[in-house]
Amino acid sequence: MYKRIVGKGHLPYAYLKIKLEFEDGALEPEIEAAMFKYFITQAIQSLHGEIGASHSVDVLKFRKRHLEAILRVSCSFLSKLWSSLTLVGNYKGQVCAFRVQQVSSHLMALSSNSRELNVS
Amino acid sequence: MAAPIEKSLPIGKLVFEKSSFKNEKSKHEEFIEDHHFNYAISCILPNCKRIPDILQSSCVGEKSFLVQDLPLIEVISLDLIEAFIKRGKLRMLSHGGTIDGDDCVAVLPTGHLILHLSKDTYQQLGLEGKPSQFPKRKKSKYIVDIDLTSPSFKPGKKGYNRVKWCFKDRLGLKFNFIATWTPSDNEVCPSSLQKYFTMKGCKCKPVKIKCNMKKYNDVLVPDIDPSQVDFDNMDYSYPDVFEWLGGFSCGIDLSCNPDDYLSTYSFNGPTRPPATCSYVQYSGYFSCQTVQSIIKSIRDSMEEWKLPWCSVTVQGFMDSPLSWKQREHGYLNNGDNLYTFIIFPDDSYWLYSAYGSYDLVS
Repeated sequence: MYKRIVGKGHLPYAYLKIKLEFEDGALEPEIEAAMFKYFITQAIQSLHGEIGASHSVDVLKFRKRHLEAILRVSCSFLSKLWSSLTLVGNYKGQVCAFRVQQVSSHLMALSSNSRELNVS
Repeated sequence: MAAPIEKSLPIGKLVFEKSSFKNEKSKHEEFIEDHHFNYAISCILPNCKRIPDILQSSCVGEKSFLVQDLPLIEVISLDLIEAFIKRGKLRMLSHGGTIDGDDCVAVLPTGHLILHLSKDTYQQLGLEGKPSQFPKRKKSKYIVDIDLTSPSFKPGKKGYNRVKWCFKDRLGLKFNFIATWTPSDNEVCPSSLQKYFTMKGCKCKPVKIKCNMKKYNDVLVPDIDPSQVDFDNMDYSYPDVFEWLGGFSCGIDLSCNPDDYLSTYSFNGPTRPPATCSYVQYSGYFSCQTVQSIIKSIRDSMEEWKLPWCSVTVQGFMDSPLSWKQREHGYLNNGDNLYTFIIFPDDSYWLYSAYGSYDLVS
């Protein structure tokens, strides 16, 4: 009746909540979800080459208005994706940066962020 | 292929349990009670068009509050120990600091005061502690554990005087605390604690409970058979269901095609016919008592609401120095400490507990 399973080693995926930010006051370009993914793939390709870019990165959710997304990658690829995102500096000539807001191996954990609790 | 990174620490751990509420040995109540600091409670209710009032009233009626700039010396005052710590379950957690950089303090219902201090503060304070387990090699944080209910912890005794002197004369440490108190005596009001702190001259504010409700139409909800536990012979396994629940909670469209350009996600298991599915998340600070009562009311009304299953997720504070019981907790990439109950109509349950990389899993 009772059963307990403890996962060993790495969990298969890592999930990231990211936001693309432009300079204050700059007019943000309209980016579609497919374009957003292409942009990320380009970023990986420029740092890790063709083989890096062939790795699958899933865009699970994309909020066009806030330029926020939830990505899923296999756990072993996390640091490569993260480094590629860090080095992104411009989108079609406009200065921008990716902010990684939350990283977790549980998708459930991204549904809330206790550091956002604001009492005062 | 690029060289793999060796010996990287897993960024998370997942433990799955299956049992029944009716099982005498089931430890669900202790499990909930041991997770002290609950930030958010969320429920997924398949086949449900509106959130039942009972959930709303238990969450919104939560009596947690923030005490501003409370000197640590007040926490060891005999009045507080005798009137609150010994007569109920007091849970306090410092608010505003991060566990990986700042000092954090927690008061547990067992009467332990846990100070999670940076090296500088630890050395200046002069109380005995031990280095934190995280990060492993670098001793950058120290933990001081004081048992407030110990019979020898009294004014006049050596240990008490030492602690008092350290808190008062060496470092006048002050923190913002979020607090809940569950009295052992039902006739005492939990808000007496707030009154006590106000009388001591501290500013108190209620913690605002935020509510996020959503209703989705035509959702293909996984058809989970609780009697099946042999995941080797099934199309899906327990992590797949947990991923689905997480995706639904984040508002992700889960019906996408695995051949899609954007995402290759798909749920392999069987699904129920399309139906309305409700989701609600309350965030703030909740006592374990509230979680217990929510689970109980869902169990009682399961049949009346005609739910095939229902999930309740409780998320802890990332910056809490402990996760369950007195198990140490830290922050690396994330500070996850959360659990999800999937409750079935026959009173059986699945329990997922998810941890970040800096956590001692029992």
